[in-house]
Amino acid sequence: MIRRRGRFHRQMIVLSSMAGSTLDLVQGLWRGPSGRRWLVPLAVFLCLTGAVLILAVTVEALAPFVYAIF
Amino acid sequence: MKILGISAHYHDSAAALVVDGLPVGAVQQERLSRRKNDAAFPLEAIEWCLDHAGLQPEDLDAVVFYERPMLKFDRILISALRAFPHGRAAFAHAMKNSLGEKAWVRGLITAQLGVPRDRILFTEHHQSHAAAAFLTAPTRRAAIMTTDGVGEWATLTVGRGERPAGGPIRIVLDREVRFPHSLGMLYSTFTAYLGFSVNEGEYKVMGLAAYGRPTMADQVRKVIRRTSDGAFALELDYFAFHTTVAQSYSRRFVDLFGPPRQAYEPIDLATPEGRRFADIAASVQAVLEEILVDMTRGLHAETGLPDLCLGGGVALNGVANARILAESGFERVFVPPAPGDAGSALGAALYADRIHFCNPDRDVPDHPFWGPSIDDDELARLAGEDGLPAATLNDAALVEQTADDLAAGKVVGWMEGATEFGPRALGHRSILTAPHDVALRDRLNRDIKYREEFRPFAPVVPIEAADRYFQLPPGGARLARFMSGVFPVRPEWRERLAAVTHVDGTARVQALERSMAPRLHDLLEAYGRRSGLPVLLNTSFNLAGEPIVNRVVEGYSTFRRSGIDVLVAGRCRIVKRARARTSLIEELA
Repeated sequence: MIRRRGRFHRQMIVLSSMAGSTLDLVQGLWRGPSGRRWLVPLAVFLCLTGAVLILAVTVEALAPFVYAIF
Repeated sequence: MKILGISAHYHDSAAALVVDGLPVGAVQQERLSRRKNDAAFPLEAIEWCLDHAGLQPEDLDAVVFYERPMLKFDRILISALRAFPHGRAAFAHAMKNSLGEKAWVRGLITAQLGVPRDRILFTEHHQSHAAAAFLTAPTRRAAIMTTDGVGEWATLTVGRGERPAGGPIRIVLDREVRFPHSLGMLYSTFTAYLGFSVNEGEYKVMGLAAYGRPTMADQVRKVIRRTSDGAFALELDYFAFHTTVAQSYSRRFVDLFGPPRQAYEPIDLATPEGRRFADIAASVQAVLEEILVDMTRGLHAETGLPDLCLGGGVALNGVANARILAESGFERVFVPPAPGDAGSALGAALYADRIHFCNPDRDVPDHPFWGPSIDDDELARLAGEDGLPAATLNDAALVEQTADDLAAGKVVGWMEGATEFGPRALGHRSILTAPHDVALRDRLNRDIKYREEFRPFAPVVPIEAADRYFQLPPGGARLARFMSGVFPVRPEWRERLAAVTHVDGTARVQALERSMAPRLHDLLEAYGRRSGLPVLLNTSFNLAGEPIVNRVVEGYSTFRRSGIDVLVAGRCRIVKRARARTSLIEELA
């Protein structure tokens, strides 16, 4: 049996993994042969946006404030 | 080593478990969640795989995801920027879609399974397809071609695989075609244009193609041109899938091919409009075949190998596969039972085992039955609750009784053993009936499957007898093992196989080897003794819009809701109450 975690716990784990995944993306863009280094700021910005969206889902009290931004 | 493979988040998610180099279980999420083409994170499928092997998540040495989400995100981002400013809405949608969950797969797996981050690996999408095709095929060296809609960037790859006895295993994909140039997207665009659901209705386009003539092939060649390197490129002005999620084709596409079909409009092949749609389907099918044959011919010339492994969703196109076998120069063509994304879960796990961890090669059993097994006692219990008489018989009696039912023109729901991994019912979750009666075929379409009249049904035949009824080229029986090729029915048998012979005289035949499904093989022989023809119509055991049944309770529910006359699950057999009464009255009379 897979031990089920609460939603808050799961989302916090996902949030904590985002830095590593973002780093993977940045490294891919930086080292890639196609000269896409200029995309790094946009990619990081979008990943941060994703983090904020996941935060809104995780902590529902924050959701109205987060969605107000968009 | 214990390696879990996962595919998810596009369509048809799945999980597969490989222990010490061999699969021990693989199942699509839809079979357990009961949502057709379920793309969600396959938690139930993972749980079943682990329970089946008696493992806990912490016992796993690695969890492998079938593609690289960040590379995919890179493609989505670049494509959206290239389309700017046209794709503003698509950009917002794609970002919301990707950044919500799909991009953070490592965290998601850790959160759901509790597996440490360092045990989570990623393969590339087409590496997973290639591994699913090559590492499960009974060949040591083969050329490989994978073709689908899109993975990360690649839409088609070609290369080769080697697994010499005792030597290192290699899968090398030398060249690729990149998004948005894609054969899968081309076919899906025509699927959408013809009013069918993308990723679901491609079968319908292939079925419809047989009713038309490729009169518009030149127009199709305008939207996809060949390139000097032997590949192809889409003329993007005709398409919209790369700029918007709402539409696959552009206004220019409509100008070229005429008004699209609306999904709610029936296709009446007696009308000029119906014939136009059939001609368009035939045209795109012809051009797809032409390109695939040409590319595989080039691959054969380049590699000089006799075997070809095909992977990716386009490998489900049995008509194209048969032409590749006949015209490319390859002697044998291998298509796994699950060449699409679901099968990539198994491919990713095998890739990690053989290539990443360099474990020794092992021959993967050559069958598709990797899913949950039925409970032999369940049908008797369910029928008992409803007051239906259930008979529990030994294998021989059950086979003879079922052959009698089929010879009497009944429709039989047939469940045994483990469910198939992949989209096709290959004998463990099937609806079976006699192959000669067109009225039975129409009844299947109307009362049981609730599907379009132009879609053909497939036959199953013992491999020893296949060549007698179907024109199988050398290597054709292999392609027919998992129903991956469409071959002509011999003209002298077409009338007696009318329910399984498509309008163009072909059939997507399954050539059944006894060792793969012994009881179904016995049933075919028993039916052959009665009818003189050991062939049955075999279609997947589900109703329209539902996944193929998995547990007996789902088969029983389908039996109760449809026009199936007899249900066999394990050794238990039940018949519809009304028919049971009729039989009783007949017997008394």
